[in-house]
Order: sequence, then C-alpha cells, then structure tokens
Amino acid sequence: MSSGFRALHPFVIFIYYSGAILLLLFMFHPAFIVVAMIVMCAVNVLYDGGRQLWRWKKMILITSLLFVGINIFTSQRGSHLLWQVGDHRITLEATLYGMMMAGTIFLVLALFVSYQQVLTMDQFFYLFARITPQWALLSALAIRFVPLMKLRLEEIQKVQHLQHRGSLKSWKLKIKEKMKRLEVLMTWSLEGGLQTAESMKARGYGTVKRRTAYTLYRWRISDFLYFVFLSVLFTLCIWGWIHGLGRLEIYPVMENGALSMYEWIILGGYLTYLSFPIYVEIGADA
Amino acid sequence: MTTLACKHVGFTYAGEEAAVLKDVSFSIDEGEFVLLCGASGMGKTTLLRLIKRELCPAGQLAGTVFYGDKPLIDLPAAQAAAEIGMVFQHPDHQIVMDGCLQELAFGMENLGFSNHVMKRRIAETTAFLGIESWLSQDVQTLSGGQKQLLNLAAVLALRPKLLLLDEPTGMLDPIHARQFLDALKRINQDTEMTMIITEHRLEDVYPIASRVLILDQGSIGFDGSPIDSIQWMNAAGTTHRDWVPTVPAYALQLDPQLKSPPLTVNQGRRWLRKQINQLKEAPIELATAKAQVSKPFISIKRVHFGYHPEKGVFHHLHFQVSQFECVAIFGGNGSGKSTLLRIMAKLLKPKRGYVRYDKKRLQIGYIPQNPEAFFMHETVRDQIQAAVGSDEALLNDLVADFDLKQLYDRHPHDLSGGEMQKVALVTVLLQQPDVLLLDEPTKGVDPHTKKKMAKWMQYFIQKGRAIVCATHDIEFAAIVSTRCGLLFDRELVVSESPDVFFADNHYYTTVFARLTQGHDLNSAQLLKLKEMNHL
Amino acid sequence: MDPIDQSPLFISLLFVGLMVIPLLLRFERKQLGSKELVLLALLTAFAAVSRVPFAGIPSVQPTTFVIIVAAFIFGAESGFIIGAGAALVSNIFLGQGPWTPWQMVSWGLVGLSAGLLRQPLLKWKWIRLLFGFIWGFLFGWIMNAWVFLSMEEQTLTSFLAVYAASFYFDLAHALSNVFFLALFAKTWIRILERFKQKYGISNVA
Ligand SMILES: Nc1ncnc2c1ncn2[C@@H]1O[C@H](COP(=O)(O)OP(=O)(O)OP(=O)(O)O)[C@@H](O)[C@H]1O
Ligand SMILES: Nc1ncnc2c1ncn2[C@@H]1O[C@H](COP(=O)(O)OP(=O)(O)OP(=O)(O)O)[C@@H](O)[C@H]1O
Ligand SMILES: [Mg+2]
Ligand SMILES: [Mg+2]
Repeated sequence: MSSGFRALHPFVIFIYYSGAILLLLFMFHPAFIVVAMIVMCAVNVLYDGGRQLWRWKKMILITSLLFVGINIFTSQRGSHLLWQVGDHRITLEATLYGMMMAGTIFLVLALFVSYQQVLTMDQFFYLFARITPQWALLSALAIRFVPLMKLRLEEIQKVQHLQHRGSLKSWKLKIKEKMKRLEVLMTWSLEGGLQTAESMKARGYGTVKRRTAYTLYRWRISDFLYFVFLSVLFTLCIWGWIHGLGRLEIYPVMENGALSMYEWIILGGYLTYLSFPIYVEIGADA
Repeated sequence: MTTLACKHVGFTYAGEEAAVLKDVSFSIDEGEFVLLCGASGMGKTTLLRLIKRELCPAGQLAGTVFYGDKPLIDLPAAQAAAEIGMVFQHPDHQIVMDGCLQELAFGMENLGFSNHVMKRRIAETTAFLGIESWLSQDVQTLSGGQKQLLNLAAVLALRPKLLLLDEPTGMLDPIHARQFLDALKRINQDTEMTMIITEHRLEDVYPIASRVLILDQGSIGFDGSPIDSIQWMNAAGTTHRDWVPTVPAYALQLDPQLKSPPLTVNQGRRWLRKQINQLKEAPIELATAKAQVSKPFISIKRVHFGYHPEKGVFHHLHFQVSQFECVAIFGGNGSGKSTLLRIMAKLLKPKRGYVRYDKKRLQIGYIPQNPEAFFMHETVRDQIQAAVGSDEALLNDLVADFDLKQLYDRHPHDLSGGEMQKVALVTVLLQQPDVLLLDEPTKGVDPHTKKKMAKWMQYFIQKGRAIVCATHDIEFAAIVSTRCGLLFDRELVVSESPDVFFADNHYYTTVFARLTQGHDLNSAQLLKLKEMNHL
Repeated sequence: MDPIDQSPLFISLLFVGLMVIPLLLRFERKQLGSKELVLLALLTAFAAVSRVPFAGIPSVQPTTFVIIVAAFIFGAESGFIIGAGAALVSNIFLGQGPWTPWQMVSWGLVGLSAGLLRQPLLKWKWIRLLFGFIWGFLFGWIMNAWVFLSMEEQTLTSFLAVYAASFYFDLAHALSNVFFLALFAKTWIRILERFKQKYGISNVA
C-alpha cells in the first residue's frame, strides 16, 4: 500500500505518532481510553488485519492483569466498596484506576505496533539524518542487523544441532551450548559487519563534511495542510487537558463519569486526531 | 598512461610472522583488463585491499603503491573513494542500506553529490546493467547474483577509473556469471575503465582478459598475455598445470608442442575439427559398468515446501540418495539448492510429504553455504581436533594433503575464502558421517585444491557413503558426481549419468561437452578425450 | 491535583528524556569513524538478539552480560549507548511500551558503570561477579520504579509489595549474571579484543 497514510511526507507521519503518544499518555479518562482503544485497533486492522497486534495478546493480558491486580491489592482508597477480603477493601476506584493504566499500556503498545508497520527505516533515516546523522545511522544499522542476526542464529543452531545430535542433557550444558551459539553469532556478525563498515568507508563515508540525501519525499501542499490540521487538534486537546478535561478525578470523591459539553468537544478532537490514518487511507481509496 | 603501479610491495598481517606479500611489482595501463590469479591464500584479496586504500588491513606495509604518478597515500580522500571502486568477494558484506535505490545512492550521498546528478547517474547505470525493474525492492529479497550486480552498479555510479573485483562470480550460477562478465566486458570496452579481477573459474574470464598476473609465493610469478600465461602454467611445476583452463588444456594434452592453444569454446571446436582424424585412430574399447545400486540412505517423497505461504520453493519433489553416490545439484540463484540440502538434513520441515532416513541414527555432515556458521572454535586446531574420532591416520593424511599445518594457529575467520572451505571440508570428513551434504564447497577454491577435494570426495563415497553437493561449478561436478540434478521451477530433474546430462544441455554443461557436442565422435573416442581432462 | 500528577507515564518519559538527551547530544558531536559506528550498532543489535535463545526463561538473559563485557572493552559511553539501544531494539520484537524508556536507562547505566569501573576494579574476577550480582537487583529495582510510579497510591506498603513481588525475578537475574560472567567473560573479552586489534578500532569513549 503506497497510497494513503503511508504516502504522506514522513514528517507528517512522524508528527502524528509523536502527538498521538503524548495524547495517549495524557488523556486519562475511561471514555477517552475506550475510544482510543477502538481507534487503535481499527488502525492496526487497517494495515495488516491486526495480525501483528494479535501476536502480543498474551503479553497484553498478563500486563493488564498485573496492573489491575497490583493496584487492587495495594490501594484501599475510594468510597465505592466492591468487595471485602478480610480487612482489605477492594474499591471501584482502585479497580478503575488499574484498568485505565492497563488500557494506556495497551494503547502505547498498539501505537508502536502500527508505527513499526507504517514508518519505514528509510523514512526514519531521512527525517533524522539531517538533525542527528550519527544517531540516525546508528539506529538504522542496529535495526537492520536484528533480523539478519536472528536468521543467522537459527542457522547456527541448526548446524550445531547436527554436529552433536541429542547428546546434551544437563541444564548447565544446555546453557553452555546456547552461549556457544551466541559466541559464534557474535564472531560471525562482527566479522561481516565490520566488513560492511569497510564498505561504507570504501564508498566515501565520512570524506565530505555534509552528506547529501537522495530524497524521494516531496513536501506537498496537502502535507502542509495535514500538518496544520494535526497541530490544531493537538493544541485543542492539550488545552482541554490543562483545564482538567479528559481526566477522571477520582479523589477525594469520584467525579461523575458523565462528560460535560466541553469534554465532548475535546473527545471529538481526540477521536479525530487519533483516527487520522483511517480517514486519510479511506479517502485515498475512494 | 599508467593507472596503477606497485613497487616492491610487501605486507605482513598484524600479529603474524610470515609475510603474505613479499615483493610485488607491476604496473597497469589505462583500459587494461587484468586477471589476477593465484592459489588460495596467496594474497590476492590482500593485494586488492592494499590498492583500495580505505580497506587496507591492519599490518606492516612495505613498498609503495602508485596511482597515476602519485603515491596512493597522497590522493585526496574523496577522489580515492570515487576513482577506485571495489566489488567484494561476499556480496552481503558490501551492502549497507535496506533498499536497492538507497544502496545505489549511498556512495554518492557520502560524496555530497546533488540530487540531480544522483538521479541521472542512477538512471544511467541501472539502465546499462538492466536492473531498473528491481530498484524499489528490498535488498534482502534479492538472490546472490542480483546482489552482486547491485554492488557493481553502486560502485559504477561513482564512475571509478579503476575497478577491483574480488571473485565476483563466486556465488553466481553459470548463466548469471556469464551475464556479469559480459557486463564487465562491455564497460571495459565502452569506457576504457581499468579492471583487475581475481577468479578461480578461469574458463569464462580468460577470453576477455587482456593480461594475466599470477601471484606466486608472495611475488608476481608471471606477467603477460593470456596465451603466454598458458605456456607458463603448462611448463611450470605441477601445481600450476592444474590452472590451465579446460579448452587449452585439452589442446595441450593432445599436442604439447602447440604454440598458441585455443582459448574460447569456439576456437576449441574449430581446432578439434582438425584433430578428429587423429582421434579416430583411438582403440575401440568401452568402459566397464558403474558401481552397484543399493537401498537409499535418504528418500524424499512428494515434498512441498516454501518459506512464505504465497511463494513455494518446492512442489512435489522426489529425490533419493544411496550408497556410493555423489549427486550434484545445479540450479539458478534462488532456485532452492540450499533449501533442498537443509530439508535433507531435517533442518527444515517440509509442508507436505516426507524425508525418510534408512536408519534411526543416520549420521549427517553438513557444510552450509556460509562456512562461518560452521566454525565453533577459536583456532583451526581446535576446530579440527574437536572433529577427530578414532581415526588419527585419516587426520594426518588430510592435514598433510591440504597443507593445513601452517593454518593451525589461525582464527577460522581470518582464513581466506578458499582456506575456509578447505578447513570446513576436512572437519566434516573427519567426522565420518554416512551422508555428506555440501553447499557450494568449491567457491573461492583454486583448481589445485579442487582436485584434491575431488579426490577425497571420491574416496569418501567409495567407502559406501553418499554425498549430495549443491554447486555452480560444473567442471568440478562433472568429475566427482555420479548423478546430476537440475532444480527448475520448483522441481528437481535428475538424470542418471552425468554424461547424458551434460551432453544434452547447452548452458548447464561442461566445457568438454560444449567442445564435443555435434562432432561426430563415438563414445570410445569421447572417452579418450575425456580422460585427458587434467582435473 | 496538579495535571502532572495524573500522568505518571508521562513523568517517566520526561525523566528519561532529561537523562538521555545530554548523552545523545554528546554522542552526536563526536565524529565517529564508520567502523566504530558500525561496531556500536552491531553490539547493540547483538545484545538485543541475545535474548532470543533464552526467551522461555523469565529474567534469565545474557543481555546484561553482553553489555558489561562490551563496556569493559569499549568504554563507558559505548556501554551506555549499547545498553540503551539494546533495550530499544529488543523491544521491537518483544513489545514497546512505557517500560521501554526505563529499560533504556537501566541497561544504559549498566554499560556506563561497567565502563567507568573497568580500569582497576572490574579486572578482578570476584569484583566482576559482585558487580553483575548487584546489577541484577539494581536493574529490577529501577524497573520497579515505573510500576510503582504508575500505581495510584505511592505508600510504603505498596512500595514493599512491588519490591517483594520482584525479588525472585531479580535474584534469578543476578544469579544468571554471575553465572555468565563466571563462565564466559574471559572468552568473550578475548574475542572482542581480537576484533579491536584486527580492525584497528579506536576507543569510542
Ligand atoms: N586478518 C588476517 N590475519 C592474519 N592472517 C590473515 C588475515 N587475513 C588473511 N590472512 C592470511 O593471509 C593469506 C592471504 O589471504 P588472502 O585472503 O589475501 O588470500 P586469497 O589469495 O584472496 O585467497 P582466496 O583465493 O582463498 O580468496 C592467507 O593465508 C590468510 O590466511
Ligand atoms: N530464510 C529464508 N527465509 C525466507 N526465504 C528464503 C530463506 N532462505 C531462502 N529463501 C528464499 O528461498 C528461495 C530459495 O533459496 P535458496 O537459498 O535455497 O536458493 P539457492 O538455490 O541455494 O540459491 P544460491 O545459488 O544463490 O545459493 C529463494 O527465493 C530465497 O529468496
Ligand atoms: Mg580472496
Ligand atoms: Mg544456496
């Protein structure tokens, strides 16, 4: 899919994700979190049918349970009693807080899952190569090496497995074998990688002070408009947040969960911001 | 005009005592196409790295390399990077970026070219090499041969004056190798770019080289035209005799006094036509039947396999390998040779169908395409010692025959490409498995060592074992194999005898078959001619 | 209540940002050669990938060990970069979340401290082991901090509850560090030294 959201200028994409993560962290209200969860799931489904996100199901479940659990068992504040275990009070407030925290964590994870599918390494590199060239190259390389190393690790494991089939029993030997594998991987990867470094040098890396960039990304008027659009929405949400909207006050007395008119407006802005990829994508298809 | 001159160049690697290069002197003019030969570990790669200044390894350098009339060291950095280009032995190591286009632009970005210039050069270079269609692809999805072409393109985009190529066709299938060499030849003719290439499969390079340098014992043993080099090789000691490419080798066998032996297949066929009468006097006496057939060690039935659901590698594959067999598997880059070996070793599970061993604990020896994955120890000694079973005699024979003593203290990754293959082969031979699976065992290996490898592999199967060998080296396969298979369109076509296989093919065939196809020779005469094969 | 109070996850982001940005800038200003740069990227990726073979066992992974060994050879700043980078990169396949910045800090500090202490102290095997052991716990404690901060009630009991809950994991981490350092540190240091010599790599910091 090279039209729609992914076809925007990488800067716009990057701005969207940066703003989104801040909003996800700031807006701490059940209604907002539920809306965001629906939108983030939709965004993920849009790109790969949610396959990548689905891979994390176990982890999401465990983290959520952990957060709700810890919060319930350590906090006794709040006036709405749900349950009483011995002299420990389980309150609605504590449960709600734990669930909201779990929801936020899920949102961050889901956002990154879609981020990894949308913003390619080249685009990332293009964005940062001018501001922090060294970091940009370092991270681009590191991320590029990971799948290569995983493939090699598999290969090493298989070859090693053939050389002594099924003769290892004790855990110590097993760990030793695993470490041997890593050792071979390290030697092999460093050797190959340093030759890549030589190849960079051989093709003039570092000879000229200012590298140029072979750009593929053109900044169009539409990109500018999108940028302004996102900025306005973001400012709106943050303005609301500063004025206490989009946050559920739990203590001393839990606020009524119902939204005020202003909060509805902020929620609307929030929803519009987060679902940006969805309508850009649908707009491009139509 | 002189492009490059080496004056008494010597080199010793850091931490080693013996010098790799002792006294190398030569000079090369603009537009020459120089073939640099030498046995594995003679220092070809080292020499090329000394010429490509940025790649100079850590160690002790003696003498001077001149570029034009200035010492190479005085060249400005940007000029050195742009004007001297190098294509590495291993294509994966050279690639820096993720996408093909980014990779092509990388060098130009480094040198601060403007966007406009970059675009034009990329357009021109890719059109010339005919690779525009995969510009938007991810580098990892390319086959070995495509990667090598991409590397060439990336270097050419910088418009080098001097191009260094370190065994560029080592991993290419015969057809891609030809294409690659053809591209080089065209560039050399169209632009007068100076080129230095190292190669071990000389058949295809010889006709296009304008000059041959032979590296021997740390200095230049021979320097002259290809024709003269053949005389030199043929006259010198036995090691170099193995180097003579196949066409002239046959000619010289039949007529040792020949002044200018044929170089290309075309010349060879014409020459052979004249000799036919002499051949016809050969005694008519047919060879005895082949070795017995027995129960298969490994049988593969109806195997389907693919790494990705959409893209299958095998479709309904049948194959088996028995005692006393050495099966050579050919196929284009990316046709699935390595995958087949992995399936046979049960490292990959087929989607459908099965792989069956004839006994529970069938011992498998496997050398992967990248021998780096194979080395588990920090010195060659440890690597070899760890493999020895009870057979000390075998160890001594192998080590003596392959000259490994001198490499004992090296780290396996410090070995040259050919030496690595040698050590890997020795290691698996020492393990004495029932079936040996070799993935391109001869890449980067010089002809003399190849001959020894062939000998040991034959010895190995005579002991009632089996070998399956994926290779691009047809000449080698013709000697060791008892059957050949060609992977094509997700299927494996196996033919009973290599002779039948080669006689029928046009590209996947030996030089010998190309020489004799269509000539009116009976089988005994062919046999006589074939036995002359020096390898 | 202050707005800030209500966004614990944001605080952790801010906190990490303030820690990391000076180091980022410092690194950016250095003109590294291509070999040094690639080496850092390689070790970062490697430290991240080294979690893969041990994925089944919680808290037992050689990443901390790899970072310590790398910092021992290539210095404090490299150690920090490798550690922080390994957290970021490994979470690409293990899941990014609010914990990522904290992991970056923890592993970054592992590398930084190992680099700073390498000269006299870490040369002795026993101190090395002790160092690994301590970091097993320290790492867990820093990571607990974000769990603690993201709870609604920061009291002593909740603090103790979190720390008690993580004790076994931290112990496993500490013991595995000791195990790896005791058995493999020597070999790995030798291997890295060899690369440093073979490719003539200068110290990054
Ligand atoms: N980094 C190194 N340290 C020590 N010795 C080395 C190193 N690299 C190569 N050598 C040794 O130097 C010799 C020459 O190696 P080089 O790679 O130049 O050979 P080559 O002629 O290219 O061989 P091949 O045809 O197998 O590629 C070999 O004996 C090799 O073992
Ligand atoms: N680990 C992998 N994951 C996904 N695809 C792979 C993997 N390894 C190989 N392939 C793909 O499978 C196909 C067969 O690859 P294979 O390596 O078996 O080819 P080959 O015949 O050995 O080629 P070459 O002559 O270049 O070594 C290729 O299209 C390749 O891109
Ligand atoms: Mg070489
Ligand atoms: Mg292969």
